[in-house]
Amino acid sequence: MNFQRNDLIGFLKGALNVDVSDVEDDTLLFSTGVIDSFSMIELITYIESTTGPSIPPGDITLENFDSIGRILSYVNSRAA
Amino acid sequence: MTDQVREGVVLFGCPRSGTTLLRRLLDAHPSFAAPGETYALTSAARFLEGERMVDGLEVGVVNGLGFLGFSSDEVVGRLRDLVFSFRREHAASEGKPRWVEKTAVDAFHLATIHRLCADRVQYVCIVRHGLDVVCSMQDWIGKSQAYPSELHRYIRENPRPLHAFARAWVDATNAILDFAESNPEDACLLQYENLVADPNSNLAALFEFLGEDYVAASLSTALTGKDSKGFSDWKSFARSAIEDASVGRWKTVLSRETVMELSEIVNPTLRRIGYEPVVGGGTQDEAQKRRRYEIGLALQKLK
Repeated sequence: MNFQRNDLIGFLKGALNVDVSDVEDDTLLFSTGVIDSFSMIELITYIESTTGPSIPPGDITLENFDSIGRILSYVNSRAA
Repeated sequence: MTDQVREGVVLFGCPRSGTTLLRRLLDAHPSFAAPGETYALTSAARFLEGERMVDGLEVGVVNGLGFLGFSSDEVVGRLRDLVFSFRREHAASEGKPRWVEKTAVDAFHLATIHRLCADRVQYVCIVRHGLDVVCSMQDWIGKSQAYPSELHRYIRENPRPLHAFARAWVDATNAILDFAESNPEDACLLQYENLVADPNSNLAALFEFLGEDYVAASLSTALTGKDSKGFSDWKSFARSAIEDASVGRWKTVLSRETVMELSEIVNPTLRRIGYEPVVGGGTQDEAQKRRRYEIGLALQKLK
């Protein structure tokens, strides 16, 4: 499936209570504390549940998950 | 006594419900001396509270002195005079006519404190969302590295601290709500979220209840002072203005599974106050729990 930006924004806002008004595609989320470990677990669990198989531990990196842009790029590259 | 100005005000709230904020706001008013926690009423309540024996007899100071011919009214009255005299003297030293007593755990002694103070004081009660209280209690206990004695029973009965905090909140909050409903002329009930969202109108109503003029200007200076007398909440001093940043913090601090577990404990009381009941995530099977743990481990490597 094609994971959409709106899906991600909706989850950040609705499930994780993130104020997305100031969040751009390149805003760093985890490394700057916008979301914490608990929320990151929720986010990755959500991505796995909506896009397919488990994400390998080696892929759980800041390069793949620290911003909306990076997450979308990683998730959609997996699906390709 | 209701048509007279009463010298004292007692604040009741579950610990971590905004009682320190409220105390500091009252202390900024020219009529009220509201220092840090004195434990005066807490200790007086502990003094009065006996243990119920199997035959129903309360073993404690009231009945103990009763056998010597001192009536319970006399014991309570003498203790009241002692406690009030300290607070009266301190208020006078501050040049203020009235005093405010707030100690975090007083809500767990509400009935005894009411017996002690009766209608000689006014009562200000504050309630806050249970899961925000639970999160704040976790921070408080972590910082203190100890549980106050009023929480020992909950910790003994609940091996998971968050469950213990939630049950303590339920008991304290229902006691406060029962009290406020039963004593509408003596007690004013505030909700923390309303207070921080609209301090001016909430404080205006509070000061009207207390029979004092609301000095709006005091709001701007109430939290700028670093009143160091007495025990107090370290977090309160980190703020110089009223803010609502901690409202709904539980949504980002507690996992969905934890919220689901706590919902069974807190929802009836949340509904009673008028909050929306909380809904957590669905039940996870063992594979899902393992997967979440694996993700958590992977995330630790990012730090």
